[in-house]
Amino acid sequence: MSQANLQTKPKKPPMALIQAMMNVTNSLQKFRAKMMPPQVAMVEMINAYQVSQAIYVAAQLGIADLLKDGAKSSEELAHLTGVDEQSLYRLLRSLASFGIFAEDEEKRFDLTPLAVTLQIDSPESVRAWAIMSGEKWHWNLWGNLIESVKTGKTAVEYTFSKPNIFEYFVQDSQAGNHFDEAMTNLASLNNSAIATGYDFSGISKLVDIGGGYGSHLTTILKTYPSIKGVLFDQPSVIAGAKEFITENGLAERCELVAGDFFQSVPPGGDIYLLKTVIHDWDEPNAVKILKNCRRAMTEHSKLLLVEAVIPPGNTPYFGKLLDLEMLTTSGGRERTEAEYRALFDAAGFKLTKVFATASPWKIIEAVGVS
Amino acid sequence: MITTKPNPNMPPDLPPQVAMMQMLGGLRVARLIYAAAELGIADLLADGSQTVEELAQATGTHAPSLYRLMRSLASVGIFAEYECHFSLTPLAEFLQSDSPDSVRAAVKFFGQDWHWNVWENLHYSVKTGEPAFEYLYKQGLFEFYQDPEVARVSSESKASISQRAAQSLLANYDFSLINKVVDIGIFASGSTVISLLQANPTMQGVLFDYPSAIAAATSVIESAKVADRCELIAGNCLDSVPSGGDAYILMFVVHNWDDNRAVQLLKNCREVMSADGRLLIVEMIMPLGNQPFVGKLIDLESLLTTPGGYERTEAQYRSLLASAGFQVTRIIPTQTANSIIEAVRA
Repeated sequence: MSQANLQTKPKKPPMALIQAMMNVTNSLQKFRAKMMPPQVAMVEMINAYQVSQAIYVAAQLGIADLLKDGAKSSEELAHLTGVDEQSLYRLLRSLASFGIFAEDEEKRFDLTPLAVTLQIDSPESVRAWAIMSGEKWHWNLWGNLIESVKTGKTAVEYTFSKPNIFEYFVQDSQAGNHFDEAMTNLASLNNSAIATGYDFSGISKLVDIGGGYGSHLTTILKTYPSIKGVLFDQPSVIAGAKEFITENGLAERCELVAGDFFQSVPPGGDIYLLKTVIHDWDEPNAVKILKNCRRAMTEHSKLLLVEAVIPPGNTPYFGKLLDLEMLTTSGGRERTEAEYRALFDAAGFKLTKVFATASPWKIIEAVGVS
Repeated sequence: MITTKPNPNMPPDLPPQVAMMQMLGGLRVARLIYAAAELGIADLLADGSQTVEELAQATGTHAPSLYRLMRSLASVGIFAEYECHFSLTPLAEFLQSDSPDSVRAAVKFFGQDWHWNVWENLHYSVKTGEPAFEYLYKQGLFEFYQDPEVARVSSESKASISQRAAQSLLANYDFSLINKVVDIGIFASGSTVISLLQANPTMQGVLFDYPSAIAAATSVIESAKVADRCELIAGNCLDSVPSGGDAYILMFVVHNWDDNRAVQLLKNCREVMSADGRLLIVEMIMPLGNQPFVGKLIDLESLLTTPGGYERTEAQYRSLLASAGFQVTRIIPTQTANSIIEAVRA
C-alpha cells in the first residue's frame, strides 16, 4: 500500500536543520554561481554521480561507524572491512576532498560533520538513503531514466519487467527493506515539521491513512495529548506497527486498523491525513483513494495531504528531482497546486488552504463538497 | 573527535544532513543531464525556445515525462521555462554539439551503460584493488578502445578536454627551440600535436598512438591542415616509441599504468631520446591534504578502468622518473588542474 510510510522510529531533527532544507537548492545554486565559472559548475554536475557512488561505498562499508572512537589509518579500516588498503585510501582521500572524512598528518582518517551523517545511529543519519541510492537495482533504474522519458513508464518496467518498485520488491525483499530504511531517513526530515506545521488543537480523532508504522502519527499524538489516533494501513504493515505504537506508550490512544484504501477507510475521523501517499499513484488510483476518504468523512471532517507541492517557474525545489524519482521507480508523480485542485475536483473535494512547513513538504487542506 | 573543518564545496550554512542529501542527489542530476545530451535537446533549441510538445515530437519521447525532465533540469539552471516554452541558458549551451566548450560528446560517451555500470561496481574495485571494467567485461579498457568505433567516439569525446590542456601547455612552455615533437597518446584525439603545430609553423610533429586511434585521428589531422608536417605512426608505447624527437609529450598517458608499465613506457622514451631531448609529462599532480582537487575523483576513474593506473603525487612522479633513468628539471603548474613535468635523461 504505502511503502513510502514504513517508518520504524520517529526522529526529531533540530528545527534549524529542516528550516535550512527549504532553501537548500536555492542557496547551493547561488553559491555555485558565485564561486564557479559555468563550465566548472556544469562539469561538477555531470560527474556528481561519482561522488554519490563514493559515498555509497563508504556507507556500505560502515566507515563512519568504525571511526566512532577516533581516527584510524586506511590499513586498520581495510583490515576491519576486508577491502584493499590502497583502494580504500584512494576512496577516502577523494571523499575527504568533499569534506566527508578528513585525513591527518599521520595518514589517519577522522570523522567530519558530513561523515557523521553516515553513521547508522546518528540522529541525522542519511546512511540508508545513501545505500539505497547506490545499490545496483536503484543505480540501474536511474541508468535507464531516458527510457522513462521515452515511454512515460517507470524504468522498473524497462529494467525488471515489473510495473513499479513495489512489485519488484516482491522478488527482492532486501531491496524493499533498504527502501523502507531510506524512507525513514527522509521522514526524519519532515515528521516534526508536520506536527508543528498545522494547528491540530480541537481535533478529537485523527485517521492516518497509509501511515506505515505510525512514526508521524505518534509525533502528532505526542504533541497533542488529547487527540485519539487511528492508524490505517495494509495488514502486514499494521502487524509491525503494533509494537512501535506500544513502545511509544500510545496503545490506549491509538487504534490500529488493517485494510485496503482502494476498498474503504475507517469512518468518523475529524482529520484524514495522507502523508506522501497520493504521490505514489496516477490520477485514476489517486481519485479512487480520495473518494474512499470522502465517503468515510462527516460534513465537518477535513482532509490533509502532506506532499511536495511543485512551485511554478524555474525555482530550485527538491520536489522536482523527487518527481523524477517517482517517474523512474513508482509511476507516481509530484504535483503542482493546480494539479491537486484538479484531483480534488474529480474526487468531490475542494482545496481550502496550503500550509508551508519547516521542511520542503507542504500540508494541503481540503473539505468535501456536497 | 570531530574535526570541524568547513567543506569548501558546500555553502557554509548548510546543515550536514542536507548537504549529504544534495551530494547523493548527484547521481540523479547527472543522469538528467545525460538524458538531455543523448536526446540532443540543446541543439533543438539553437534557433529559439520550443514547447515541450515540439521537443517531444522531435526526440520521439513522451511529452509529459519530457516536461518533468526539463522542469527538473531548469531547477538547476540547465534550460529555462517561460510561458510553456523551454530555452537555452549558459549552462545548457555546453550541451550543444558545436558550442566552443561543448561537453555533449563526453557526456554521451561516459553516460553509456558500460561506463554507468563500471561506477556501480566501485565497491568491487575498492574491495579487490582490481579494475571493475575488467571484472565486468572480461577485457582491458585499452582492448575495448581498439574497436574502431569506440576509438572514434572516445577521441571525439576527449577533443575539447585535450584541446584546453594543449592550449595550457602552449601557454606555459616555450617550444621555440623544439624542431620536432613526438606526441605519444593513449586513444587521444591528436589535438595536442595539432595545437603545437598550428602555433609553431616550422615545427615537425609525430603522432604516435594505438592503431584504432591513429585511424580516427587521420581525418582530424587533415582537416586541421597540418598533415604535411605531421607523421602518423601506429604502435604500442609499451613496446617502443618513434625516434627523432627533440621533445616527447606524454599527456594523460602515464596515469593509465601501474608503476611497472609506466617505467617500461618511460624507458622506451629514454632509449630513443638524445642527451638534450626533453620529456614533457602533462598530468594532474595530487596535492597532499584534504583540499578539493579534481584529480582525486579522477583517481577513482583510474582505479575502476585502467590497468593499475593512478594519479600520482609529486614525490611519486619523481621516483617513477628516477627509476626510468630520468631527472626532473622543472615542474610547471598551469592555470588548469594540470602540471607540466619536464625531465631529461639522468
